[in-house]
Amino acid sequence: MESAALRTTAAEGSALDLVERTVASLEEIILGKQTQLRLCLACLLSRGHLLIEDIPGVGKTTLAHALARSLGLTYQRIQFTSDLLPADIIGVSIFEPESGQFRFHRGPVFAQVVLADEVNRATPKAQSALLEAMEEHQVTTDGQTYPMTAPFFVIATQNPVYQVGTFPLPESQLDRFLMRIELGYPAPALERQLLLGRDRRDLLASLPIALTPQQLLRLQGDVPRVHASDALLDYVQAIAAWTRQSSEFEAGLSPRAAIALLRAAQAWALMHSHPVCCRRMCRPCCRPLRVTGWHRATNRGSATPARSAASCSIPCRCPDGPRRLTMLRRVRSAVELRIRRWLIARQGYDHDPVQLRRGRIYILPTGLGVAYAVMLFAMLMGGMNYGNNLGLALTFLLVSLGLVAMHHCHGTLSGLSLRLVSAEPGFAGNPVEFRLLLDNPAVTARPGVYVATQLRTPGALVDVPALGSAGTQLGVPSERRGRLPLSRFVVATRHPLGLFRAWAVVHPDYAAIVWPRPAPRGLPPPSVETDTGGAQDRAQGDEDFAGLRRFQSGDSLRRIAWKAYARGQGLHTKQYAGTDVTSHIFDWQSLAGLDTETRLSQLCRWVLDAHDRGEAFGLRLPGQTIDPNIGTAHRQHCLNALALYDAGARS
Amino acid sequence: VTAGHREPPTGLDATLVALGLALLPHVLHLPAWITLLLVAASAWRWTAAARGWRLPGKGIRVALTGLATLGVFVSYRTFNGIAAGSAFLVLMAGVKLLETRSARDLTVLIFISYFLQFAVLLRSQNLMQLPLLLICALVSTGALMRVHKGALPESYGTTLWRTGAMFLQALPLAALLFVLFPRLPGPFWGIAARSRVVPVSMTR
Repeated sequence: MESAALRTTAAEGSALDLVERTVASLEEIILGKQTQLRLCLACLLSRGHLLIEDIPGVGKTTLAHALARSLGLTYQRIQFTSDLLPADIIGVSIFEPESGQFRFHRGPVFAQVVLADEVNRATPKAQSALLEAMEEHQVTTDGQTYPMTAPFFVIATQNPVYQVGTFPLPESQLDRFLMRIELGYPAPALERQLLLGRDRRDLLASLPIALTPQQLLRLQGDVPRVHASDALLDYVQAIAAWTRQSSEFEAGLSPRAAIALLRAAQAWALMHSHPVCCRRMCRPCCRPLRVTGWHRATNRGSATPARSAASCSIPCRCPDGPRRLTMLRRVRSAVELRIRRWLIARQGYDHDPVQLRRGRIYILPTGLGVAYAVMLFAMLMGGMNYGNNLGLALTFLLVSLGLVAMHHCHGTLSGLSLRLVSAEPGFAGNPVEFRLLLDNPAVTARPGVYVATQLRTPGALVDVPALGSAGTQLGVPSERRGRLPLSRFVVATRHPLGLFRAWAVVHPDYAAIVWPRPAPRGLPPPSVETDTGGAQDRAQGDEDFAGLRRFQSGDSLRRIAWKAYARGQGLHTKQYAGTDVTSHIFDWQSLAGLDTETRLSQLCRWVLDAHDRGEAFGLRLPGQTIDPNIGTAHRQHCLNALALYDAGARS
Repeated sequence: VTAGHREPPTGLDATLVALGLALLPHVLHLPAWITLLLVAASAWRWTAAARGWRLPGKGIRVALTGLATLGVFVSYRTFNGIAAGSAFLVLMAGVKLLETRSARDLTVLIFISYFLQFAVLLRSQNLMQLPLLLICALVSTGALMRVHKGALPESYGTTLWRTGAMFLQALPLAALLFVLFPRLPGPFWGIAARSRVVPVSMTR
């Protein structure tokens, strides 16, 4: 339990960074809609679907398109019209005369991000085809089931104003959407920016991928593991109970709605790097939650029920329980979050090579610097008290020296540039190493620079010579296999006197590969029919006579060189050279019955052992085969394939 | 108990030199035993670093601190005033030397040496001390730079060069502050009356 909690905590840093990066990237397209973008991501992370209700032209379609692009997902748009048929959505079976069979042609719903535009214009029959695919994550037609590719995210839009000739979504099906949001008009300043700026669709084409599908799947898997405090569960139950009793609602929240609320709150907590999901995490999600019960009241009452539910004082006296965060930690994490967001908003994400401009270098006195100031203040008081001019002169000299040191400290970093040399892979559980090169374009040397993941953690100091460069490395602990992004680190210095620390925060786009943790030695690889003979083995085999060897107990009697014995040369065994099984193909399928990670660990162990023994080996994974070979590069190739094996996308 | 043997912190030699220079103007005014004690402590620390000896445990350090305090009180009958204060400062530097494990400990010693330089000026404002004072401040600052250098190698010449450059940059600002800073008439708390001396006239 404790270790699970710790793991979640450690993974959050990157979750926060990934989400922030995605939001920042989306914000370049959708101006000034941070809250909606965050809610949209929360919805995506909790594996829900999103309904956007707004008038035409506020950027609903652009949002869906930008989301698909910045997540690197396949994207399809379905324009719902009154004559849309289910087959237009899910696909159709067509008879092929050559094969004499029906073949299924997949429809647009098989994309990973599906935009269902004006979902209320289609007939209920077409709507339910989409809603069914959303719920089941698969499509069944002609007795055949076709699964969707994970992640699968549907964004439906509907126009709330012009309802003539439309088919509003049936109430019982509305809870297939986790959230309902409105985009609204942009603020005047931002609208001006929109008018002046480039066309949004042109910008879309150059939008980089901020979050890979594999990272997204990992985050989605992390959401249910976020610890939900007792207070939160009480709160969710209290909301549900309140909606069921209140006269404002025809029917209260269903248990499914309560689960949806909880998941959204957990996703919100993960996105904001809170190790524990508490009531505060729940509130932002309450409003846009569009689940059974909420909207019925919308039809009836004037007030938005979700808002009143969130803001009403629900008696909830239970404390958060043993894992409650202390006030101090809460404040600290909130402040840190603010600072991180501010930093990212201020300086953006960095691309290799990173130039440390003046404006992004921060400087504060160290503890010793504060002590130095206190000492100088004491000297100043002493000097003034005794009217001691020479004493004052010394004090002012030291004060100026401190200020000069501050200037030098800042100057040590200012103008420095750094780039990635290599990201050394490592096994899960061990640190991976990012090798960096610090370039100094100035004619003065920059001594005592270090890089670290956190400002407080010490790093090895390096001197960057004038007009030269110096290498350094940054170790980052790894937990699980896959691509480990380095999303944030600091370059800092305390040069020259240790009285000030200057630093710059870098948000790079570096990533290293983390290989699976090798399984403990034990299970030998099963012999596969593809094992082949390779090199000549002098010791084993039975084909060509290769010489004599002194007899050892256990040797076959048939192989004793009796003639040699007869010549009085002692007991010898005849040696034959032959071929041996020296090449293996390690097969994913041979480990049936184990889960993905265990299989990968075992394959990793076999690869390492085979490499150590100098044997040729190959690898067969679903969808990928690596031919037998030897050498360090081949070993690395195989380990990388294991590290990046993507179970979610293939299963 | 906690006194395990470790690598001595970098910049120990420079710190000892700075401390010695700061002690120099005090030697004639201090009881001989205090000077001897600091010299002995420095020599011991130096040898300990060279030979890899263990530093003394907490018990010994507490006992030494107690004895030093007692010694100052016996010699001066007070802790008040410049003479007793600087004697006490020198003794504390000696005891502190016995637990110099990190850069921070050495920094504390360098701060003490700055304060000892200040104490010299409180005793007399003779302008002849100025060159020694400047050299002393330069060496102390150089020591501070070496202490925070970490494990990186740097020649003494480079340190001296860098410190000298910083001093030259600091001097104009120091002069400006010296001229512009307002002087308040008379001592503003009472204890200082007996050490009033004729001010060196530069601003008046």
